[in-house]
Amino acid sequence: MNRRLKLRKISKDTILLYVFEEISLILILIFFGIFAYLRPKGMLNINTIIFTIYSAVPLGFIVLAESIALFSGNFDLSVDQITGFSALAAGRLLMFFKGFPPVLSVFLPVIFGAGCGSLNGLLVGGLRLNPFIATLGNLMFFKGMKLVISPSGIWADSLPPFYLSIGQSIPATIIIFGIILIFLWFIFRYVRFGVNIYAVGGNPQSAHMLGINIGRTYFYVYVLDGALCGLASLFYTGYVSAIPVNLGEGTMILAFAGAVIGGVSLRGGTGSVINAFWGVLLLGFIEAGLAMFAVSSEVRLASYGILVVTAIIIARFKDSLRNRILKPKFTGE
Amino acid sequence: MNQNIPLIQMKNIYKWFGKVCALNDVDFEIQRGEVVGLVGENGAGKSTLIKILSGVFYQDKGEIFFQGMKQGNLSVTAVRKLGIETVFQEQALIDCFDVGRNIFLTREPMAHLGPIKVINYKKIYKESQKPLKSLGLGVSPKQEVQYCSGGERQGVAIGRAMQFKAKLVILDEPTRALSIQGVKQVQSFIHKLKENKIAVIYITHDLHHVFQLADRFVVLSRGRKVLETGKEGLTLQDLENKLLKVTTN
Repeated sequence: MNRRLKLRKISKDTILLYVFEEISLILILIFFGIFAYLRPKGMLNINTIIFTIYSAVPLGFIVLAESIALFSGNFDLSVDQITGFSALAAGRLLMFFKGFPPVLSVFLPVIFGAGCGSLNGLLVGGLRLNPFIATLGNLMFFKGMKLVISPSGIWADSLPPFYLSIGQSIPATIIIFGIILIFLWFIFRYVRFGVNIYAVGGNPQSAHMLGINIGRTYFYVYVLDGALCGLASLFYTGYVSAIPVNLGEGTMILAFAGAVIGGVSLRGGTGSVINAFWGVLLLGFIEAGLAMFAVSSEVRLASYGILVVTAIIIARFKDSLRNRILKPKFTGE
Repeated sequence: MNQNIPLIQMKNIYKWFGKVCALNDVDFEIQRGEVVGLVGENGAGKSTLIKILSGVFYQDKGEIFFQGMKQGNLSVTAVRKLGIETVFQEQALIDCFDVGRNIFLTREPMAHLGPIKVINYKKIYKESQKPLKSLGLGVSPKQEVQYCSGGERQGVAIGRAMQFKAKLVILDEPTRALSIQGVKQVQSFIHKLKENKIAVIYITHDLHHVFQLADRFVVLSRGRKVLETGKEGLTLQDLENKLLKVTTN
């Protein structure tokens, strides 16, 4: 649930809180401004901006997947492995069945992703295992299964051209991401299923007392999460024009970074997919900016780590500020 | 409809948690518009009995009748359809949701957007003003519940019951951890329910809070019903003495 502030009284605290509420947008502007100042020719170019958004789309799907798990008060450590596994499983299948209908082929990674998600969903929703244990176990399982089904990855010439073309087309990639983003925003804002996910994340006990089936909700959350990872794998495949064994690997920490920077609460019940998108965009611009300065991938990863911790600290500070401003001054209780 | 038929009748209810018998052959009934104080020390089985009536738990043995009609195992949704609303000790509120959304959660009014049904927020905020106003609660439907005081939170939970025209409202320890001001606020909410001819089960271990409001008292101790008495000719002191006698036996 998006908890955008509507403040009447303006004070130092309220201004600070407003800044923290919109931190992802402010950080986008700051980083973009810095990179544009240092490399105006590279950054102030519409093609660069479009390409930055395009290259951020696969990660964007993973951030959305993680955000949805976080909305429900859970999390998913296996997002990157589900992405890699769905890509390889779909790729293998397409290699064996050369005559697979091209239009249907794009749904294969989504189906595999949803299948992997349902496994997480059964463990967390059905057996009520701790999401840390369940998704960590599946992280290892999918990592192993990737090597079982395809030890050396899959090259572009083994894949149908149509399958690759979706993720290679910049307009198609951005438009599909935009449509799915709006669709998810709509679901979480206007459809009872989406609102129930927030309710379960906000207070599972209360949600249960109001008749929401917690186990079933968790299950669907993980299926949706997995399906989005499957979509990420489709666009990663097009983006790199191949399916390396380590496709998507290491994006789990970035998924948390994007979600947390975008204002998604680690405690569940709050956040919005649109804000998570700002988190994705911020990561995309940082990635593009650092790449322009030829910063090594190790240093980039370290900088994302700093970003995650900073985002968590900001989120905590923001919560205490909100409490200070909005809690009744004297309740008598 | 025959006015003598109780609104709710629970017969020979048993509930075990492992080897612990939380309810042992308990009978309970309530008439339309009646306020019953369900009293007992902590662990007496009050909340368990009420969670069965609310559909949160199923009884292991026993029967439940609603207006004379035998009910099977009741689910939370089925219970709410019958017109039974529960304000749990935990209040069943989602702190990060606003007041309006909490009142309507899982029963949101829907609007049609072509063939798609979508939540009608405009209606939620408009309609939720009614119970808040009728309870005299000065909170906005758009205020987040986590920023409400304890009394206001109880008001929101009771407002939810009023919004959906409940026939019976169950209040589980509604004054627990409230200030004197909060207790008074909750008591005035119960008066409003009584005025509206809504039956109330008031669960508490504090007789002082329930004595003025209740028409009848049912006392549970260690999972058994040990006393059932009307209020006629009874003082608070008498009731306290009776309670002491039956619970120490």
